[in-house]
Amino acid sequence: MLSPARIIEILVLLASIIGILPLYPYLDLFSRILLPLAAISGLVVHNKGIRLPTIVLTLASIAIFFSYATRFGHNNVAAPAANLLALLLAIRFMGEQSSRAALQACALSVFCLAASTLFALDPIFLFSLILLSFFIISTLLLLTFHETDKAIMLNRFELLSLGKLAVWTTGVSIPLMLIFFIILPRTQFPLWNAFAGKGQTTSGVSDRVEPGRSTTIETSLAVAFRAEMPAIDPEALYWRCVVFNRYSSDAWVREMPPSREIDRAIAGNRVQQTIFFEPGSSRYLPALDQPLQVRAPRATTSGDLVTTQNLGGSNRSKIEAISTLGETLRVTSIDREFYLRLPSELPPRLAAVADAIKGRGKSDLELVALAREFFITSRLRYATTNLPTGSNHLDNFLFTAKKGHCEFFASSFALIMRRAGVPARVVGGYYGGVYNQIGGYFVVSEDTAHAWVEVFIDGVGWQRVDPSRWSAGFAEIGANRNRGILRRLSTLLDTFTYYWHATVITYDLGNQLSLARNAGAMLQQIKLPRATSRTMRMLGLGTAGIIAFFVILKFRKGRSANRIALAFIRLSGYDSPPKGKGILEIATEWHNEDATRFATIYAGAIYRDRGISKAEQRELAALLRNLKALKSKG
Amino acid sequence: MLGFAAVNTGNNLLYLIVSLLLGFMSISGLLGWLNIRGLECDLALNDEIYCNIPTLVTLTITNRKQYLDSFLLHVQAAGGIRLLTSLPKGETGSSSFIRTFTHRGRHSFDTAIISSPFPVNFFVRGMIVPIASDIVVFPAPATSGASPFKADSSAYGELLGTDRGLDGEMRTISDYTGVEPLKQIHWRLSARQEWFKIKELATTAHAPVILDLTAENNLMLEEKLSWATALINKACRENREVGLRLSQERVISPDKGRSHRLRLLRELALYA
Repeated sequence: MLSPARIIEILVLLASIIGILPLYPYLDLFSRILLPLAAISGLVVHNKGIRLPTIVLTLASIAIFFSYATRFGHNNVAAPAANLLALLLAIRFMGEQSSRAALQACALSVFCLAASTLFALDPIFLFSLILLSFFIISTLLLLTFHETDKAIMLNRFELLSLGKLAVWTTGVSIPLMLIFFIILPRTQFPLWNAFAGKGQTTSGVSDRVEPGRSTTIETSLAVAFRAEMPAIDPEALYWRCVVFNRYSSDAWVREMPPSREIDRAIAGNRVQQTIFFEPGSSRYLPALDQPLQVRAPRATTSGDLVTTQNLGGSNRSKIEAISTLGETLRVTSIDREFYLRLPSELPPRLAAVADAIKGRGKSDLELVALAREFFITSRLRYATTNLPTGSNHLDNFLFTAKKGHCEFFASSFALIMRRAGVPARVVGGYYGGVYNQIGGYFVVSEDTAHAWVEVFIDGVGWQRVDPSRWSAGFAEIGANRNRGILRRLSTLLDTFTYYWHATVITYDLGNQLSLARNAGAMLQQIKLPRATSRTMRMLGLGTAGIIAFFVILKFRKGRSANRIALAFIRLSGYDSPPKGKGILEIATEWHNEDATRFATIYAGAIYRDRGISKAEQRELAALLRNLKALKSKG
Repeated sequence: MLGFAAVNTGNNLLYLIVSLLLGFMSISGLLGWLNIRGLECDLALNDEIYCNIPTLVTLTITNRKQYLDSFLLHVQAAGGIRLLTSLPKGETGSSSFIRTFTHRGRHSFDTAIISSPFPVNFFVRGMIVPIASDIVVFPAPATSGASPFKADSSAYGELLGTDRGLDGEMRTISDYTGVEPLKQIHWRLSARQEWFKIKELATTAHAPVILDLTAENNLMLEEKLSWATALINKACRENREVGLRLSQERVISPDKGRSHRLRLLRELALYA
């Protein structure tokens, strides 16, 4: 026998852990330390029977509330709210253990899980939600017992039965959840966008290309986006995000392109993509280079084919894009001066190389070829660690260290081109991707963030040039991707994530309306078969089949009861049920308690027109065995 | 609050939480409804219940559901309320309580109220189930004071019964069969015989008594009925025949035995 109160304590702790875990990585260090300490000290305090004064805990709650309330702002809502909830839960751990406290802890756990959605949209949320609901449902069931009578003790059967009920309730709640999820009223646009992913993983594509900022670059394997599209040559997977057109203070930055300039992709094989963009700090939406059309909510595309989301960093983005696979962009007219602007001071050796190239080359194409030759003969290596830094980093990269990543290559190449008189700009985006055969999409991770260059060739247009390709080691980057069992497993998991995003995260009013429209259209299209003799026959057969199924079911149930009664009658010395004698009369002939009990149970069920329960069946069988043993002895 | 946050932010995961909560609310409503369905209630009472004397009432609940156990059932019937923690499917549970009836006569219990806060203690659901229980509460037996019933001298006294007994006159001498009490052995006679001889005695018998409810006296009706109850029980304990005059026309002839006694008490209980 167990007291519900003890089980409730355990369940509330489990619910709290499940509720807080998805939020934990995004909490302040203080909250992260306090939470486990509070949980452990709460357990110790309660086991020793110590009661912390309520006033102390209340004052602590108020202090924490005001401390975080001051940090709230229009652009800083999520982090203070999350920490506040977590700390309130921590205080709850140390507080009194009552039914009210258990309910508060459950509610806080749900709020904590809800708060985690402001930071991450992983499908792990669904597992946490289901597990949390199981613990909370179990807690609520037991609380009902505890509140009804504090002295109630539950036996093994009751605990087992309640456990089954909690599992069943959770299981049935899930399909209902899906139905409610589909039909709950939605707005086309969120009313308040303040909960924009604060603290989300920063995208690989930043607002500036600044190669000399650190000695290493962090390669994150987090998914940047998934693009649903047919499989194409990985070499062609240049995902265009942003164009940097001005070099200033050792970094390439973006300025609005000249207003007259409108770039257009050359007609060719069109590739349609549906891109699910992970939430990040970048406002620039990816599309396969060169994009013909990019459609996303609240997004605009500039003349140099950069699509920006006006309320960037929202929780989810679904982008519909059409691109042609090519390396050249046609352009109406360009402002050469704009794309040739350089800072007053360039690294002297870089400037000298550029001047030398300019002296040797006659046409734009020749100048590009000469610069390429310089990069190849310089034997530059592609690297992500021990990188040149400081004000002289480009000189260091080209002539001393001779190693760097794509930003070094793109930055120095674009500068050489501009100095040599060829308009150039740096393009930021992603290169490559792993194709998921199951889901039919490319997964592009943050570590594939890439920078390349577009040079303007007179009479042709903007020509893509990727100077990183001229380095030793670039080809190996990503060559190991898509190999190994772990990668295959992660592909499988990613498929789930993809469908999670495609069906749940991006579900909105538009989907809701189209679903309703499709359902309406489907209903209209349903044609009832004409009442021919054949359809009537089929209908009759179907109905007869269903009726037969239920009759057999009932017959089978009754048969087991009949069989056991017949066994008793035969054991009593009759070949068949004697006329004018019921089971009770036959039992009296035995002068035996077991026989009387048998008849009482059987008659109690049958004469009341109900089936024999399983427990009764077991007892009848046991009584029958006793009677058989008695008869064989006597 | 979560629903408001969901609409406000357009966050589908918040919608999922709200949907799950709504789903659970629906299921808990259904569970609460099913929990008190398919239950049969029965009431078992003693067949001899006296006014103002506590009696045991047993409530029997049967769960007729095929797939669901029932939990936390508050069963209210016959002025008592009992809690059944659990009642497995297809099984019967019972619970008893003490009840004191304060009025004689017929008491009908047509319904029982079964209620339960299960599965979540936010609402209590209840339903009325039929029970068919009809009881008659006998008048409270008088314990002190003077009996209003005067003995009729002609009908009161000891009669010699003809049946074998232990306390009457000696009827005859017979052989000891091994079952008679030792005090019946006629030792002096046995000493002269080969086998023990016993004194076979007759029973004492009393003249039948008829309690006359119509007789004039100072007592209130209820007191009179209480005395009649006490006297009927006493007479039956003493194995005396007792009858009852309910009106000038209606007289129940004296008799012995439990069923006769209960008949008389029933008449008293329902006496207008």
